[in-house]
Amino acid sequence: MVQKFDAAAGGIGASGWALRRLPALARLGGPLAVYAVFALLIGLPLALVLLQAVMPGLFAADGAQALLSAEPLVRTLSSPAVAGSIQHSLELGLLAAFTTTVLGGAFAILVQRCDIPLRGAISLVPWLVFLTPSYLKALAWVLLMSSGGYLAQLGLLPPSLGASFFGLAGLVFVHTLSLFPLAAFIIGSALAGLGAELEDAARLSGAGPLRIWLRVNGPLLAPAIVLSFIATFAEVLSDFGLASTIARMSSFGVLTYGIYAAASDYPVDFPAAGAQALVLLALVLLVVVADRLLRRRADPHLISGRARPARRYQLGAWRWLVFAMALLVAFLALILPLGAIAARALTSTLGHGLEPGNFTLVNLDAALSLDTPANDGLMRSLFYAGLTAIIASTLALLLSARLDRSSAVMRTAVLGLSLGAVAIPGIVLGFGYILVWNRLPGFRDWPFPHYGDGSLLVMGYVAAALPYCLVVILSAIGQLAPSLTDAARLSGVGAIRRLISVTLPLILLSVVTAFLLTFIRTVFELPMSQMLIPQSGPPAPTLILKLFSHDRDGLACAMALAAMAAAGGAAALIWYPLKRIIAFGRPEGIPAASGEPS
Amino acid sequence: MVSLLGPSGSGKTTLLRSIAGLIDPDRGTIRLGERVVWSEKSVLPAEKRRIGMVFQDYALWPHMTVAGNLSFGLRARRLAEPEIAARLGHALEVTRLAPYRDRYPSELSGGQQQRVAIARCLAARPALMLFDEPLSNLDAALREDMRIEMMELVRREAATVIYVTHDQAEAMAVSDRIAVMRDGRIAQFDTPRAIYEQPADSFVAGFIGGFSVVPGTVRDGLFSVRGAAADSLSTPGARPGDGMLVVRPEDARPAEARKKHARLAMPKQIESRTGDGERWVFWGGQKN
Repeated sequence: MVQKFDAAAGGIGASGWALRRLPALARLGGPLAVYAVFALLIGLPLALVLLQAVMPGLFAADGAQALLSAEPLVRTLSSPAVAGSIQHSLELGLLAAFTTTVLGGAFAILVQRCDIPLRGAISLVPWLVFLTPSYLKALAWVLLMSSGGYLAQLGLLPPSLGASFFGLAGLVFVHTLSLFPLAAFIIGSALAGLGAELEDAARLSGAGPLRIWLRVNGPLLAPAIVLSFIATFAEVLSDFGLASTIARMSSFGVLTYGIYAAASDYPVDFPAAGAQALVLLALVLLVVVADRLLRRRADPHLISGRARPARRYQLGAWRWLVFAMALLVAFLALILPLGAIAARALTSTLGHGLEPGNFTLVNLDAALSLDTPANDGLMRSLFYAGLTAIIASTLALLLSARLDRSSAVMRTAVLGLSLGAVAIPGIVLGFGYILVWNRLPGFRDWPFPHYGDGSLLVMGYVAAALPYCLVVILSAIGQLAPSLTDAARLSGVGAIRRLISVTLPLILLSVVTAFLLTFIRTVFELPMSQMLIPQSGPPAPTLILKLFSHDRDGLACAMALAAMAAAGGAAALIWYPLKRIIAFGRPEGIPAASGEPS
Repeated sequence: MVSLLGPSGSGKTTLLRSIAGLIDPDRGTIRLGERVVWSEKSVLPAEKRRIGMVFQDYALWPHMTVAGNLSFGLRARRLAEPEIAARLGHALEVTRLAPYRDRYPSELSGGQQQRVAIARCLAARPALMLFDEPLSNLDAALREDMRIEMMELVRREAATVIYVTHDQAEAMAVSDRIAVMRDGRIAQFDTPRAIYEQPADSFVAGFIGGFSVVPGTVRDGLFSVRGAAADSLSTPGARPGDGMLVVRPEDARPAEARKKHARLAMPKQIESRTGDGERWVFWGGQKN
């Protein structure tokens, strides 16, 4: 049988194809939309922050004028308090980056290269620590280390140690335990890329384990170690969680809290907030530039065929000691802080500690009962987080699909913008949102989103989450063979259907991961929540901090516990069944088809 | 069946993807039949060109069964269900894939995956089918079998095909016409026989057959090898001036076969050899 192909059947020419004319504007429409989203969500607020720093009268309540002036910068930088904040931020950043990199690197090596018991469970610890917001960990350590706290009650805290905790030492300690997962991820992924053949070659050349680590693995891991140092330094500089808890309680001024105080506390001083934001942004920019330079210059190109998984060291009896060290890190970074929050949520007063008579369900009841302020805040945050996760992951998916068809230059530009936006401190972005939506003509009277409304807070949350979502979804799409969507195009399938029927099913797990990460992050997001509190009522993070500072730490901990249970539970309920369904849908043990995401 | 043949980087795949509409050329015009599908003023998008393509990696959608892969595009074109069923049945039958219609691509062998890619193309009944090195992912034995099977199928279905390959033997075996490409341009477009017997230039000659290309001069119908004391060769009809002598491997004989050319003697000492069992190449010197 000879079937009739369209050419033979007169398909060409006879089918009345309408040639689509593509004027320049239509061709540029996609990239313009991508840039417009970035400009509105991130670019404009950031630009106003910078303008505010050099044009102090630009947003003055009466008699605004666009005159360049270095006065606020000079005034701010010459103020002893701000100079102290800059010095504190740098000291804290450098020290914490060092200790975090050491702990994270050691943890990555122990978990990846040593044969320790319960390795699977221990490798989950960094993820759980990473997902726990820094201000909750900070509040937990306040409960543990304060003079009347749990450790003092148990006789485990010498008074001198308790006193020195509230200062640089305590901040470095909590930052290290809070950020070590970041270092472990960066160094761990570099470690995973070093195949066994490199060590085997060194062994066959007569090198012992110590020499292999000093001369082979060490130099190859050096860029990742420096990268981890830089990333954690930037994280500490941008952190607002510890800045508004332990640092504030210790009168240890840092830049992020200085910006918040200048923009929120009476009398509001926008020029001072702008000047401090400019300093913070300049420092973060320096870090980003250093990171780029380092990646370009120091990334060793491994000349290797196929990397085999590295062999794990058999430690014999020593494995139990290593296991104990990993458990200690898990205990200090996760179990102890969460235990302190849970204990405080379930007790009446901190002073009576863990006495049986002190246990109560009053706090949890207040957090979970309908129509209480605490429950309202909790429900508000869960709603905002759900909405933000839907908008951010959908937007990221659409932008990623759009980018997938764009030029390599465009993809690189947006990925660079996203990674750059990840580094922007949330508090600076929040301040920018105040300037745009409270002061900028045209935006000030815009009905939706509107300043003081929940819609603006959600928009701010989306801006903070979009870069993360884009990075997750773009990397998933990048793993798909481009021919899969090309084949769909040639089959006559339109752009939306291609996205829904071909791309989305193949990257569904990544999209859901982006959704859940955004959801969890947003439930606990602090800087935007503090800067853009809606008139309808504060979200959970703001309420938790407020309750804590008003000595209602029991209710604050109950809210935190309920929020963690709700966010974590929802994430687990969605993610694990979905992963299982996807695993069931794809037979195992047979070579994967092309384009299967690895 | 037209093959685009050329070394890596010569522009074969770029030309193929331009025809398909997956990339836009910088300038020029692409016509399909009488219709312009790409020019600087107007563009017909890939999804409306009705061109099928068998990708190098097959591009089978891993989350769809074989039947799903075949019918996905037909449903997008809103064909009636009986028409879809008929096309599906025919494509599965001619590619001998009917028993595998409910399997996922990951449950098929490499050869079966390639047949699914072709069946998907056949079911769409495109005006033109493009094959982008479809055999390059198969091992040597399977490649030969699949080449024969694929050619039978394409000819039986009377499809018009543009086939990209960098393997000259493959191009010679499958093509009605070959376009030999070099640096983004077509160096020669002709039948396989004409390209073999009358390569347009030294590049085509060198790329096609592993021929030896010897520079020299033509005078009075005689070709003299430049810088060698060998006798002139009779080349009737050759234009006078500088030229290239193309020597096919099968035309070369050991010097002993023609005593007259004793100066092109076999080496007396063989220092190295290489070959595939059928043909051998020796290197050596004149020492005893």
